[in-house]
Amino acid sequence: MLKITNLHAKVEGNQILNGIDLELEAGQVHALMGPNGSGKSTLAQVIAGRERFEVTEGDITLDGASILELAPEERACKGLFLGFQYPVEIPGVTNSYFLKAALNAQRKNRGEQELDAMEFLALLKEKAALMDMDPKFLNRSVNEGFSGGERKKNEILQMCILEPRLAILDETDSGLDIDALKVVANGVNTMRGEDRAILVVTHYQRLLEYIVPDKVHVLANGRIARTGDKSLAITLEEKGYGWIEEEAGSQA
Amino acid sequence: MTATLSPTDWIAPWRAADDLPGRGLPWLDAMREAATSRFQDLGTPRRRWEAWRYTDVAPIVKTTFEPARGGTPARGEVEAALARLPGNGRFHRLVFVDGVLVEPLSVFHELPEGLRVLSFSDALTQIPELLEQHLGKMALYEDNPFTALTAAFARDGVVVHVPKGVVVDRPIEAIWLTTVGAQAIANHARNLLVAEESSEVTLLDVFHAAHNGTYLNNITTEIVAGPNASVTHIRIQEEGRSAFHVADTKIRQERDSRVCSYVITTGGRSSRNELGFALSEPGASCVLNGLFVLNGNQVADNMTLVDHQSPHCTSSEFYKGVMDGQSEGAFTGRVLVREDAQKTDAEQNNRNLLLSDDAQVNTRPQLEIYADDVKCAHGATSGQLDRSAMFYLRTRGIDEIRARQILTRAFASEIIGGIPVQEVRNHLLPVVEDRLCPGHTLEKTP
Amino acid sequence: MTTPDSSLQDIAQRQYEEGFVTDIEMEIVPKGLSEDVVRLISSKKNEPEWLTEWRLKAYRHWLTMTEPTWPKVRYNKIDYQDISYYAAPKSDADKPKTLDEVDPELLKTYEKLGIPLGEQKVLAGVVAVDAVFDSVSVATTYKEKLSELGIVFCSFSEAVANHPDLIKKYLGTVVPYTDNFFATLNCAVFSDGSFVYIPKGVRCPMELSTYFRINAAETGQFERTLIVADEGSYVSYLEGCTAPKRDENQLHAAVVELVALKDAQIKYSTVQNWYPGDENGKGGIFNFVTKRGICKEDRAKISWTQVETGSAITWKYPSCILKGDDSVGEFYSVAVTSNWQQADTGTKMIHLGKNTKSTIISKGISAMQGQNAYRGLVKIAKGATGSRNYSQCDSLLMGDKCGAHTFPYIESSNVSSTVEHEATTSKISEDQLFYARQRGLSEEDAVNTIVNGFCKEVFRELPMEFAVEAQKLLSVTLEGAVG
Repeated sequence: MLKITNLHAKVEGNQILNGIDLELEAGQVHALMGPNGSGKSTLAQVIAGRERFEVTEGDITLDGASILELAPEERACKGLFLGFQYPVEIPGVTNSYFLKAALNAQRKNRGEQELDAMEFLALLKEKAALMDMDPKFLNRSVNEGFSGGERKKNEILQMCILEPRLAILDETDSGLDIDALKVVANGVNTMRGEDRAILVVTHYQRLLEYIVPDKVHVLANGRIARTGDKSLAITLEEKGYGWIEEEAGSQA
Repeated sequence: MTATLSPTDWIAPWRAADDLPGRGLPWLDAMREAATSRFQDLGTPRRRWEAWRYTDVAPIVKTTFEPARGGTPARGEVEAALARLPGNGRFHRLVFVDGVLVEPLSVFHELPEGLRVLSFSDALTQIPELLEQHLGKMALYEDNPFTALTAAFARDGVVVHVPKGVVVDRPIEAIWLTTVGAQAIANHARNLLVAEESSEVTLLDVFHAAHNGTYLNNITTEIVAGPNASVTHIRIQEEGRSAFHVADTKIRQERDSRVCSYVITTGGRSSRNELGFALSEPGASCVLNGLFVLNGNQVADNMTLVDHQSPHCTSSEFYKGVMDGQSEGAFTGRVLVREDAQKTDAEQNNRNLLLSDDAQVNTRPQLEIYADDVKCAHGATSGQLDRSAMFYLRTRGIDEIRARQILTRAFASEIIGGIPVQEVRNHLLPVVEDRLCPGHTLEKTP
Repeated sequence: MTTPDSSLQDIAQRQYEEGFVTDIEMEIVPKGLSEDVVRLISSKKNEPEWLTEWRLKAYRHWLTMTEPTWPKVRYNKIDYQDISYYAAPKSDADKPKTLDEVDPELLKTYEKLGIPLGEQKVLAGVVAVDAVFDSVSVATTYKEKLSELGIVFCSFSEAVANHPDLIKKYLGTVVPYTDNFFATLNCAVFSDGSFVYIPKGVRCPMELSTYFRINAAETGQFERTLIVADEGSYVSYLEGCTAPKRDENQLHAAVVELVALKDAQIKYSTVQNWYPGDENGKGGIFNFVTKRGICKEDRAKISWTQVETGSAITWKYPSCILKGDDSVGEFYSVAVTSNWQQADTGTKMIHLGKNTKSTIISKGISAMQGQNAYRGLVKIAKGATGSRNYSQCDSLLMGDKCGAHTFPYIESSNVSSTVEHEATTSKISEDQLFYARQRGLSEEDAVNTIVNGFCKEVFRELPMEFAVEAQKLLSVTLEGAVG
């Protein structure tokens, strides 16, 4: 579904990605790990079309077609969802209004019937219950006054409503207490399915006890330094990132 | 007790003491010596020092104190006191009497693997390397004479080490009980809490007097929250009415960590609570909530600092004060957003309720912002009870004292209600009410 | 690809939709200001002697005053002798009595403005309109229906002729002729405006509305509005403004006085869309306006709501004097500055009576090189026991060349009073736009959504018709922002 080949990207003159190759099939969950500053968040944002990153080489394709020239909203309409590391506040715009506008923009783009207020509300309440979210959050401004944990839950709620085909979750587990982590993981696990691919970007190995990935990639110095199964995460837990960075450094 | 002693004379009993723990640890000996000399250079604080402007420090420095060396109180009275405190039975509990841990009174339930909960003096023999690594790194004594005293003369305190990934499900409670009689004593203590990556822990410090004597509790607490760690620190200060209390709490937060601080002040003749957060890595967030409820001639000073050093950090501060009688409360809230701290979200709020014409409050919100892409908000209010709300309640047949109490409780319960430990909330509501209207405690709300 | 900064540049490309000039015959007094000009204006309006004298007193006082320099706005010195102080459609000589008699060109102008001046529209709607065209009130609709209730709604000149007692009683009582440089100038040379009187116990059944337009070149506009709400009455009043595009700056120095008696309530809403100048900062209206209301007696309430999107420079502080016990003052404001616009606006809440309450909600939006300052005074006098104020000032920055400034002044001389002030400054950030677009919203929808969210607390205070117009205005402003 998602294929990244030899991707290079830079921001403000700094080269951050140095030739990423990564393939993700429908039905799979991959984990992308790596030390701070290795380029994990950059990769996630480049896939979603963040304009401040400049792709200098390589390609990203979704179902075989390049998405590099598409605007963020066009990528979203093709079923790409990014769960933000730092979800953004939009004061005065209620969560439910925002989500309805987003969902209907996507449905319209795909030639589907837009949901009316009643249908949407029913859907929203169902998903909010799944995420253990108080319905009052739905009428509060997007992420405003939300705690870190509530913001992350809200990201997963949005994912559950928008039902993307490809979800990239950028450090959705950072800043979560163990109870909130379980709720978030449960939300992600219910989204696992044959038609959907999920890329979980994380800094902490702990998450992978709750979301078991099919593959683990380790990013170092802007490249995939290692790919393996879940056991790679356990090795990292024991040995840290130092040895991978050294390996990556000696190759460079 | 009348003339002010020179700083050197004031600390003479400690300098003469040869029973402080950790003797022979070179780093500790060096720190004690440097801090002693720094204290002598600084002298005791004056009101004209900007940072001490609202602390009623004069009666403290005029008192001649003996070092607190622990006590063996009559069993009945301590147990009666302990039974009234929040964590009876459920929490891990350390009991300090007159500044020194009393092991037989302390309770440890089964501790998670790797968790260390020790007294300061035990920690110096069992895990000196942890203390060497962290002690004095956050709470600097260069500008604070009282912190210099704890660095120089600390006898005991709480040391907690939570290893990576460990979730401590019961709060850890340190109870500081003072049982002094005629002689004024001073307790200079050091606490240290180190929470490693993705760990979770709650620490309570509870200060309580068994007698109404004159004493000083001078407590310096340092907390490190490692990556993604979650720490809750609750201070409940219910010292005696002739007591002095000086606290310096400094917290460093690493990436994605969360620290919530709750500071509840109802006791003491004169008290000062200094609290500082350094948000040193991205994604850290902190909560600073506080409540001071004063009456009579009480003076309480709250000095807080949130130092946003890194991007994407969040701080939320809410302090409330209730002043009755001739009491005097102060709040200084400094929020510093450094140049690198883009995407900071900082919020500060201070609300004060004056219940009498003679009560006073000083509030100083200070926002210093050097980054351009940030969201910062502050608010401050001081006022009396809403007259129309008072009138409304009275038209419904509620007498004036009770109406006042209901509204004041509502005001105070906004802070208490936010404390995430049920036992603490249950403990605090009646304590606060008793301070508001002695002898008129309301029945518990369901 | 566009960044928010580069797409914000495109605001400059947007058209000032109301910037047409109406070609009708005008009668214009020659440029310059002197006692003779003041007398001439007064005589053209057939004013009584006392009013002429009042104008002259103001003029003489004005000569002793200097232009204020404290606002955070910059502009070239105004040559007060290079302005014409009176311009009226020539047909004013024989003023239209009904809409049929109004110059068709003029009606077309209002049509272009989308002002519901046509009789059917008025009858179908709930808005009575007084239209002021270059200082002269040209038509007041729905007058008869209102007069059945004893409501007076007419041009200021008519009021001087028909209700001299009311004018004499209240004119200059809220904003004295000595008040400030621009207000004093207005007192000397004001040409027309609106007058409203709501009798005791009457709730005005419809929104009253005035549309102001500056049309003629090199003229200033100096209108006056006076609204008196008698005991227990209620009125909601709307004001809208536009002007043609011209290269030179034009001066608009208006005065609005509101008087609310016991238990009366006045709601005053403004959508100000004077020509702001072009993308290089050339031209545009200098909007130096004094607006003040007094809650003269107990339990009166005055509420100001303003949406300020136009003018090269805006300098205004709609204020409330809360004299009656338990009286209430409110101020809700959205001020947008784009291109080279400057705004120094805010309010004054003067608490004199006991248990008086005031609320201030100010939303400033700055884009391009726009400069936006909130300046507000909350004063609690010694006798204002139990009074309360709540102020909230939020600023939204778009791009990094604009500025937002907040100058709250709080003076409290009464310990039993509560004053609260909250302020935030934030940026409409690339982060917000990216977040909304990642969820599938187009860039334009994303910007509109964010800005409307920011202004929500003020928009909901506007009467329905105005709220729609205000949102449209804002979205026109932002259309260019998304390239």
